[in-house]
Amino acid sequence: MTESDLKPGPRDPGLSSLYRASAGDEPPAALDAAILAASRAALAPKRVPRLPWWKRLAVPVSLAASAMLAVMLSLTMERNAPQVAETVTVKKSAPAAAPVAEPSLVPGSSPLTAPVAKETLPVQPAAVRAEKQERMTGKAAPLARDSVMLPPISAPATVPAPPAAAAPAPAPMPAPMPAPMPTEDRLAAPAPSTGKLENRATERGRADAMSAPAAASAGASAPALEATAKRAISESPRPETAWLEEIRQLRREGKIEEAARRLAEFRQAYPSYVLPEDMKSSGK
Amino acid sequence: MADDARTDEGLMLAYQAGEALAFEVLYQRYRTRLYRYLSHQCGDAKLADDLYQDIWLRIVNARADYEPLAKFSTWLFRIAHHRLIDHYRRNAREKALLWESAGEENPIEDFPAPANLTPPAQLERLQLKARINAALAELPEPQREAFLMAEESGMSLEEIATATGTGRETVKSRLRYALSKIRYSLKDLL
Repeated sequence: MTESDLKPGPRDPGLSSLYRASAGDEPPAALDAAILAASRAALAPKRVPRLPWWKRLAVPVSLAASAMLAVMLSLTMERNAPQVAETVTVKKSAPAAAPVAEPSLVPGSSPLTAPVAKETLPVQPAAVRAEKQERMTGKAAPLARDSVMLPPISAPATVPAPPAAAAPAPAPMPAPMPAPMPTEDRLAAPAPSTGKLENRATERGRADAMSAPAAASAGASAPALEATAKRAISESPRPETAWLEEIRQLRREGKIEEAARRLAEFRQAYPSYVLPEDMKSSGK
Repeated sequence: MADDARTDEGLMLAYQAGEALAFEVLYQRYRTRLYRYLSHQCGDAKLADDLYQDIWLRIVNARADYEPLAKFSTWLFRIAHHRLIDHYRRNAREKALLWESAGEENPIEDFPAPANLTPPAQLERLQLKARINAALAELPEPQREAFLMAEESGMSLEEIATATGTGRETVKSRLRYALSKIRYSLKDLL
């Protein structure tokens, strides 16, 4: 071997041709197929293990249940919304403005009950009875209504008369606030099922307006006033009965037309109420 | 498939992107080269099959991390080289040591002549394959590897050095000795 045999370079052409002439080795076809199959399988997306159906449906079912619950609650709230939205006339105690007040139909009513303001109020269902009671008797009805919906307010029935009110009043009675006579607008809007949400704020404002002067004039504490109001409400007669009694009283006093008008109002307010015989006979 | 003009690296990147056909083209380009490299290196067809499949599966599994920092052939034969070393370390400690401490200054006279020399010239052509295999088998592992890489993949000295983790001069020396020995063994055919 000579130095010329050690040629630098990666390949020898003569030897390469000889080598290639002898080369006949091929990988087995099965090996080719296995490798190509593996290469394709590596590209296939890996399947995520399938969850049981109750796990897959847990999220959508819970979302649907929550949505349905929310809808049902909304519908329930909508259907049980305040059913009575009446226009009421609130008469606030204002002795100085007594001439403005309508003449009281209740005997012995105090001039302290002279109305000074009229506001339209929505009444929540729980306060309907108190509202109607207010119509008939004028006794503590506003208090009953307000005591249901609003913070405790003063009860005119038991609140001592303010000093300023004592002057023009013939006798500051601790009687309940006289029934404010239903005005025309009251009579025209008896629809109990037309809840007026926009009037809630008005009522709340009215309540504030009522409670503020009353409390200020009475100088009593809020808890005491609340207790007094509740007692007055509990002791008040049933609205229907009181209303009828008021009509009887009017008849006895010879105010036939007034009694007839009040009876008409009563029948409009309580169309299903079975009138006593004495009312039927004279009311027809 | 065979007419795909893309480079090896481009095909590998395409396979990385999800094109299965690119791998098939690449496989067709290198299947014979790699297989012959392994079969000559191992001298055992069964072992060559196992290593061959394992190397290609490593290529498949390494596609996500593939970066064309070197020629694909260099990357492929480097994997083959390491796989062979691993095999020798597990199964033939002496061969692994031979790889790691192969002397480059062995004179060619230290190696015995091919054992099966030779019949007449007309028969030598017919027995060409056997003689080349025998010549390769006589080579030390590193020299044979350098020769096979150069022949099978057309790699340059630098690329062989990269694939085998050695220096360029080392590869050059190994290749020079390998060529000399093979030439000596097959001198009657050249």
